[in-house]
Amino acid sequence: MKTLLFFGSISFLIFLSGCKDHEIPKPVNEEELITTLELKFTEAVEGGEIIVFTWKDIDGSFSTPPAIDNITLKAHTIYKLELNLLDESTTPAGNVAEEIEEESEDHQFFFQSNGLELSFQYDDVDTEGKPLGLSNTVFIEHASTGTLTVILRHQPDKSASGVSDGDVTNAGGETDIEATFPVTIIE
Amino acid sequence: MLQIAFRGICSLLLITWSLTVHPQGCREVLQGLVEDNEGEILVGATIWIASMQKGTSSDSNGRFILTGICPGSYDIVVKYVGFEDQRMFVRIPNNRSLIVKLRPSTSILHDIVIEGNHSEKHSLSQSLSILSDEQLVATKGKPIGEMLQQIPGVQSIMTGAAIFKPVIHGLYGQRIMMLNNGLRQEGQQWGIEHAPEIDTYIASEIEVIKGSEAVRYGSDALGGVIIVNAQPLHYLTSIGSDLNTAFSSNNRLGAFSGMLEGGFSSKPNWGWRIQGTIKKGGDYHAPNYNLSNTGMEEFDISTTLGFKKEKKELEVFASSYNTTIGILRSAHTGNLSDLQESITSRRPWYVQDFTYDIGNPRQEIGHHLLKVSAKFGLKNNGSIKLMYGGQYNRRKEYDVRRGNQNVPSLSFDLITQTLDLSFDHEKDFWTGSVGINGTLKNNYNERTTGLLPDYTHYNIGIFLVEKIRKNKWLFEGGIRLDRQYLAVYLLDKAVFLRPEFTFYYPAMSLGSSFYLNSNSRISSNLGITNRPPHVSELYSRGLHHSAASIEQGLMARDGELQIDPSDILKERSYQWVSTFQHNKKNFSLELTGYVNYFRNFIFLAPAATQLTIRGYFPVFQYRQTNALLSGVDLFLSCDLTQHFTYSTKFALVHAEDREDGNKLPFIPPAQLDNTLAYKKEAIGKWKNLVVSFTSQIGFKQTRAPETIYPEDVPSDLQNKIFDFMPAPETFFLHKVEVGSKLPLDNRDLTVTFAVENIFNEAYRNYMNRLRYYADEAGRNFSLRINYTFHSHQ
Repeated sequence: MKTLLFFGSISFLIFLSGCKDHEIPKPVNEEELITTLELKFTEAVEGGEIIVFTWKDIDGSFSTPPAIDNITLKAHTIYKLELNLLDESTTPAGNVAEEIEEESEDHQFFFQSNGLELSFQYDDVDTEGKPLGLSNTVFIEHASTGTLTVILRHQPDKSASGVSDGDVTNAGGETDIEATFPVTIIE
Repeated sequence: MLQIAFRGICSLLLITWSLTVHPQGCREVLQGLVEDNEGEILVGATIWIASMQKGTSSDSNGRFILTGICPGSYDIVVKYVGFEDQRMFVRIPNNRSLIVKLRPSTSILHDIVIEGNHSEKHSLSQSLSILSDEQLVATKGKPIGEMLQQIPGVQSIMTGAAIFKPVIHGLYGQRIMMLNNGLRQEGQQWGIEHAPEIDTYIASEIEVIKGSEAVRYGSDALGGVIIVNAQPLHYLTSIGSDLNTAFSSNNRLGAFSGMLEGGFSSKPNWGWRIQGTIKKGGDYHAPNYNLSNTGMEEFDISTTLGFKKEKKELEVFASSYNTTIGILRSAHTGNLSDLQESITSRRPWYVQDFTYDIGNPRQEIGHHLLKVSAKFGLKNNGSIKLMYGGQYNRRKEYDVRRGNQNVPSLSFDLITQTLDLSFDHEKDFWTGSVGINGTLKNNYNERTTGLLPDYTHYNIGIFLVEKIRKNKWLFEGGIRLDRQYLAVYLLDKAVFLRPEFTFYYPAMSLGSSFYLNSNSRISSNLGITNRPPHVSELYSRGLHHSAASIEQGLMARDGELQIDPSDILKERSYQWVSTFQHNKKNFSLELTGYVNYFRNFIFLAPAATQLTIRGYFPVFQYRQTNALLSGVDLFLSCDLTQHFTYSTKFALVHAEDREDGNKLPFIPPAQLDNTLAYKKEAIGKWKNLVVSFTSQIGFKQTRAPETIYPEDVPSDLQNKIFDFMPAPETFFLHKVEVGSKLPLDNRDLTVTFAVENIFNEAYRNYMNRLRYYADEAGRNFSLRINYTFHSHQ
């Protein structure tokens, strides 16, 4: 019986002493988060106009709905298009575009337009000479309205048919970004 | 299953079995004579060693012999019609012949130990199944969830080929409890891709109670209990050892497990054991492609120290389980469009050559456990038991990500301490137990507040369970009351919230068994259990890549976190389980039927879609409804000739949402297994040769939720329950197994060879969460060798 009491009190003490305190949780900091996609269009002429449109979803998968800009571009114009990706959930904001550039062979952007008269050309390449898509040229034709979807694939098969020409169909991999903007092309 | 039914009742068969099948390292013999107080011999008395689950009966001369006993100390019970049970404490090896004298009883009539005295402390009117040592030897090295599928009514939810989460009668996760050497296993059970963290090589036997044991263990045992038991310590100075190896061709897995045990020459009451396992497997292979990134590795070690002296027992058990499991690379998807692509293409988008390397996504799990238990015998066969358990569960999940692949996206530390005290009493035909359980749990997120928040959980429960055996009847009943305090630490839009809850939840059960004759019994058990929601069901919030979905708890409605406790409804189950058992030497039958009605049944169902920068995701929300789960399990075995045995098992679960007629997700489809076995007692030096052929039919789930392909998911789901893909078609699998044992002087060698999925069938399984992405594994050859050794002094 003595043994029981001894053993009982020992285990009770261990039981009581058994935890560290909880701290106030730190903000959600998902390493993978991309909150903001910026499209910077620069008119490809001397002193051309620079316009920036953003697609922003500040809390990732949760409550706040994304803020999406309407893109307005001029017809019969050639633009340089540069993409920037940010993680604005942290201070200072993380530069995701840099990370993508570091792992360029594992990433590729694709541009899909719907109802628009325009075409794209990749201006940059990854370490293996395959397209990446952070810098591009856009050739705008006639006035039209529609949507533009920017897709970023992680680990796509860049050698698959059509992928190097910007066709996402056979790319595989997984989607890091699939953001759709409404677009108006004016005369 | 065959053994389960046989073991308790059919003494003759037991003798046959025990002559040919020795548990590991156990070659000792116990013999004796049973007589009454006037010296008249008693024929057909039952002699039972509960801790070994081994028994026999006295022959026409009143003599009995039990072989294949492990050295050690045992409580032995001798029972006979019209006599009082006689209990003895015997040390093995024992050279003397025991003489057992029984005193006549006026009250107790024939009481066949049909339940085999298994789990005397558990409910005896419940449906109980046991995986014996022999069945375990043939599957060792496999995940515990896969081993348990041998039991009718027990299935698994799989995540790929290596993660098996047990499902009993359609219930899993927070509703199923696991006892690891008597201690409640406390891990992150809520996760559907979280398998039990137990080294199966520890087990000498696994018991499964297919029904509520909530009265004994609390609401987590609502759907059933899985009990993993190690061999009792043998307390001898001689050394015993047990070595196991297993090889599988499909994933080129090699497993090795060793155990060493003994005592101390100067301290005869002490015993020790040390055991360890290493496993390494590479990618599994489906018939048409490699399942890339499905490798695994595991390293476990455990040690036991025990003290045993007549009425006192003390045991310290410590174990460490460590594993890394790769998750199919192609199952990591970006959004609904990616999921659609995976479903429509016949081949996973990521297939590489075989490798042992494990990349992301992967899980890294550690489970470290310390158990100290003590038992003190009292007068009148009563006893006091005290058990302390400390557990540290560490789970890290790594996603595919940019940059450093060694930063986990989820990292939980769960520290649990439990203290259990119980008083067991036994007098004539009346046994019972009263006890108190205390639990203290803390969950910590290491870096982020992802998916499951930090929480503190205190629980205290008191219970009373009583059993009466009289004539051909057994009655039992129990009640329990729990109080749980829960504090959750949340951050909602940069605001710190700390909701607190106190739950009171009672449970009760009533059961009865009726022994029709010495071979048959009918049991029935009724249980009412209340279960408060788990933290994950209340507050989980986050993105699950392998299902391309966002999960939200009951308290995270429409993106807002609720903290008012009055919003919570407890889940309540009304459960009725009935079993008919008939066991004869040549024929045995077990039929179980159950009805489980739930009020406020908690489940995860699709609720809406949400636009993110990655595209659209479905939002899965925990919901409550009134649900009805019912079903049957059947096992039947008969000897066709002296050498051939045919057996069949069948399980069917029917689930429905009683509120809106929806079909519930993750309900196992019907399954039918037929086995033809050829047994021969000896071929040359080889003993107990068994060759069996099993054919399994995994039926299509005809009651799967309706199909909505990812590309068609509407933005407003209107409480519809759906699945992204139709239920897979019925599949047929075939397996051949050959096993035999070579007994040597003080050693035993057991060899089992098996071929699974003989015809290399390409199929998908409804219960596999990765069925959207890839086929199941193909043909597999496996070889298992077990070598036991015991040195005599």
